Amino acid sequence: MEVNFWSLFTGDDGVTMDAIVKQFNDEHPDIKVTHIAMEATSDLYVKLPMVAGDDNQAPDLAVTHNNYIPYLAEKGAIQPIDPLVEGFDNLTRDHFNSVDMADYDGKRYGVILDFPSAVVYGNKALIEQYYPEMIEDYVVTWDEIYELGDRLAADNVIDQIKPLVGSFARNDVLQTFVTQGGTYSEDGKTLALDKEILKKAQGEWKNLYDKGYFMEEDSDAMGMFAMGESVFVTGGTWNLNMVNTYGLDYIMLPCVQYDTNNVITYAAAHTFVMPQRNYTDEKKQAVGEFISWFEDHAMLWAEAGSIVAYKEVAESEAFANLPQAMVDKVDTRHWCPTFLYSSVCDATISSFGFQSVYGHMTLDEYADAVMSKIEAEIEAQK
Amino acid sequence: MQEMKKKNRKRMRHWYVPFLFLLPHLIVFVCFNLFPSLAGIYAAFTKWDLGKAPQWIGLENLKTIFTDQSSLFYWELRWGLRNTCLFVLIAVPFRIIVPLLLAAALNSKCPGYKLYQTIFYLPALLSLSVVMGAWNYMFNTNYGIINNFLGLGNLSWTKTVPLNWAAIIIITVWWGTGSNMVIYQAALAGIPADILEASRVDGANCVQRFFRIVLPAMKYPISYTLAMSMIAEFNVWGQPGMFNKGGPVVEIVNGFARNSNMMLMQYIRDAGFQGAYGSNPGIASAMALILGCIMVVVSLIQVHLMQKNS
Amino acid sequence: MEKRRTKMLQKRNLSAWLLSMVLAVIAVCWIMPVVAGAFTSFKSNLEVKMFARDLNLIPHNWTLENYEYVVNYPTLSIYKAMGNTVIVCIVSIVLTLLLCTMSAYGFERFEFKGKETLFWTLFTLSSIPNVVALVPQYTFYTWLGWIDRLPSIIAPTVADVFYIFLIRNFMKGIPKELEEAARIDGAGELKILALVEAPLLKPVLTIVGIFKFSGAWNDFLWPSIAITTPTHSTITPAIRLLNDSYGGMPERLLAGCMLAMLPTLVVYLVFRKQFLKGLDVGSGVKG
Repeated sequence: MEVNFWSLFTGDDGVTMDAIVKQFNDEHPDIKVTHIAMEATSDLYVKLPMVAGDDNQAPDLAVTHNNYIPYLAEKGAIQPIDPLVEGFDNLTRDHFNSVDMADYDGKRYGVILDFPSAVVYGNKALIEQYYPEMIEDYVVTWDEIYELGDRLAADNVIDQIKPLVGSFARNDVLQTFVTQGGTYSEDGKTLALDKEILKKAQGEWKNLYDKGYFMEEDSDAMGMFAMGESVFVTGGTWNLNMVNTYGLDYIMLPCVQYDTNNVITYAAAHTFVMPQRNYTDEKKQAVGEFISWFEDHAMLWAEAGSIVAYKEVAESEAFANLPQAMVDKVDTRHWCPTFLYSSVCDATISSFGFQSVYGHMTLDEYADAVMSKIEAEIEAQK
Repeated sequence: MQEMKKKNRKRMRHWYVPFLFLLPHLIVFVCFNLFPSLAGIYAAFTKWDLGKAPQWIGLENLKTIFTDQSSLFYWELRWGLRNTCLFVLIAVPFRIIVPLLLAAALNSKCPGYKLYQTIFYLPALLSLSVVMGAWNYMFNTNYGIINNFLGLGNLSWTKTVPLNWAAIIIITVWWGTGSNMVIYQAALAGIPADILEASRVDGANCVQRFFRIVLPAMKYPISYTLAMSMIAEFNVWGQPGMFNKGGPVVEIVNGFARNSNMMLMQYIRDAGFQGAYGSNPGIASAMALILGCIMVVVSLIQVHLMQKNS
Repeated sequence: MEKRRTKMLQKRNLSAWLLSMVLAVIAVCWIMPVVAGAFTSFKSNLEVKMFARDLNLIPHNWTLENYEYVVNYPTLSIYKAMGNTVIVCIVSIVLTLLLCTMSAYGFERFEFKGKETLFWTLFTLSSIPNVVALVPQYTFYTWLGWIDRLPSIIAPTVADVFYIFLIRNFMKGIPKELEEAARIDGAGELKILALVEAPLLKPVLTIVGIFKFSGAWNDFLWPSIAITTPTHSTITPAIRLLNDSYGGMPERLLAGCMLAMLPTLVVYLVFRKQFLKGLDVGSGVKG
């Protein structure tokens, strides 16, 4: 039985998935899974709607981000995943953390692999030197960042060492957005983006920059962290392998928070979805086998640096020893706004990056421009 | 007389022969180039949800981008056209002059000219990703070659306004010089050496020789490369996109933000074919139609000039 | 007289060397991006980040890890991709040369009503930006069953009108007497083209061949849309897979770029003599 499997795992993740697929194929001589990776927004999400319903072209299984599930479902590219998971005990809802991330319109559309999360990496040596208490509770707050900045300034090293630098503008803005309660939509179908929160989201970084505690425009944030020029750097679980090569004693923690008691990490969920096509019973069984086997062996996926969703693995001893387990040390809610047009919102916020932080626009202009672009693009879709 | 009659009869018998030669190309062209292009033009008059059939909506899209000031696409059309035309006006002359000078220099067959020829032509062999990969590295703010070797500190080429234009022009000229240069070299080599020799003996200096003999002989290759370069640069999207994603915001109009070096083709691709903003091939095709019309007009003008010259 | 001639020769030699030095400086700057990219592909990620601090163009620790990554990256199958690209290039070049040369001959060596109008109409129609055609093309090739297979990459590029223009111009410089002689001898038009004209067209055909080769090798936009399976892909779109989701590892991308660039460079160097000979022969693009 052949299974065509499309995913968005390019780069290092792709290498890991290929190895996992190979192991599955070796252990299951009667099933052959073919893994094809492609870029997410410019490729996978364009092709899935285009091949929907075509049994010759559509894949048998795909991995997408959970925040595209509403879009793909409405386009008829995917269907609720229940037929694939029937009969597999380890795939029921209670086996997964944050299982509602893969729901839409009251139906379950996917089985979650892991949460690519926004995190901060911290240089332990510098933290020890300047502000050891800040990581005792395994949460870094904005107050602590500013305090760290003050201490660096007091020691006259603030020009050489920054408390925090940002490696990915889109995620950085979205972190401060969701940690202040921002969302794209309440019901998943209509836009409900609070402009004020968006302003505050960009505004926090502007504040940091104006105080001299943030990097200059277009700086190589990861490079600065590698060279010890910054105590913390924002990034994601996907940067783990790269950070390992820097040879630093580092710690990985949830992204910067406002409230220690309500930790929200901006994280999507990589999700197995069921493309829209016809399935024979054998095919359904084969695909289900793969998903079930994958989750059982999710430790392989975790070792490559992911925060897995499958409880058996996520709550195991072995997982607790991995660097990314720190992120879940405290009660963390992995979350991202899901919305029919979340790609439009993500792309717009991405394209505006830190424009206001570096003074190309005022905060009001920024919020207005982002909102008008999002509204215009959504209108054009209707 | 008999022989001439035979020749004429031979010619007239096979009136269809030229068409036999033209047919293969025409068939392929019509099927694989013209037909999709016409379908694309048709798309400009539709609302097309990918995966479903397009719906005819007539002039709606064109009305929107031409008259509806509250529409984002109205502004994108204007900004895109303005930037693209500005880019063409600056980049194309450089893409003619630089290779012309280099070709003239190489034509002197000075020592090492073969090596220089290879080096100057090299960029023409590279693909967009290679070019941008290498140049992004050159212009990088922190660890770029240009900033570090010229001691420019942390100058931001990507986000400072006249510099971003300079950078993409430099990249474009570097990339496009090779192919034009080679064509000019061929033409220069075709100028009979004795004419040049005679003028040298007559006392004409380099500059005079250049303008009186060389340039007139190059009329055709120059007009050909001018046409090709203009078409290429009207279509530009890779360099400005991959260099700085359109650049810093420089103006807000009607609540919409204008980026410094966003070209029309980028707006078209974003609107229609990116997947990130969803897909709206209708509006995208309408904008592409406008761009296409302008390019066709420019082409026609050049064709007219070239025909006058021959 | 002798003295004046020697002095003129000396002056010429001096100016030739000066020109050569000026060109040398330009050439060094010109090649810098490629050289920098090449050196970087041998650096580890850490060294790349360190560059701003130590300005070392040449790697401290030469490493092949980036190349290993590219070659071993399973989804990319670099050998398959190169192989596909070679096939696409060869077929494209052959088809283009055939179609365009025949067409140029038809336009240049015959007279019929509306000839120039037809030619310039084709020329103008070709300048319609090809982005217009992308979506209809995808539907069209799906209907043909060519999606995800090499013919879909080759077909849109073959009927290039601009090469007809180039070849036509070249033909203008070839005297008609040879053909006339062959025609009187009773040879058919196709034979004339193949046996008489084609050898004389070698220079321009070489130029077209090389332009077409690098064009087909580097073609990126349409192939990345038309081909899904990486093993069916050509090399240039496949390289994109190397970049991890958020950039930040330029050294890997550059290693991939260097590998992708190598064959075009080799082809150019191999055919360069022909190329230059064609330029030297002198019957180039005339008006």
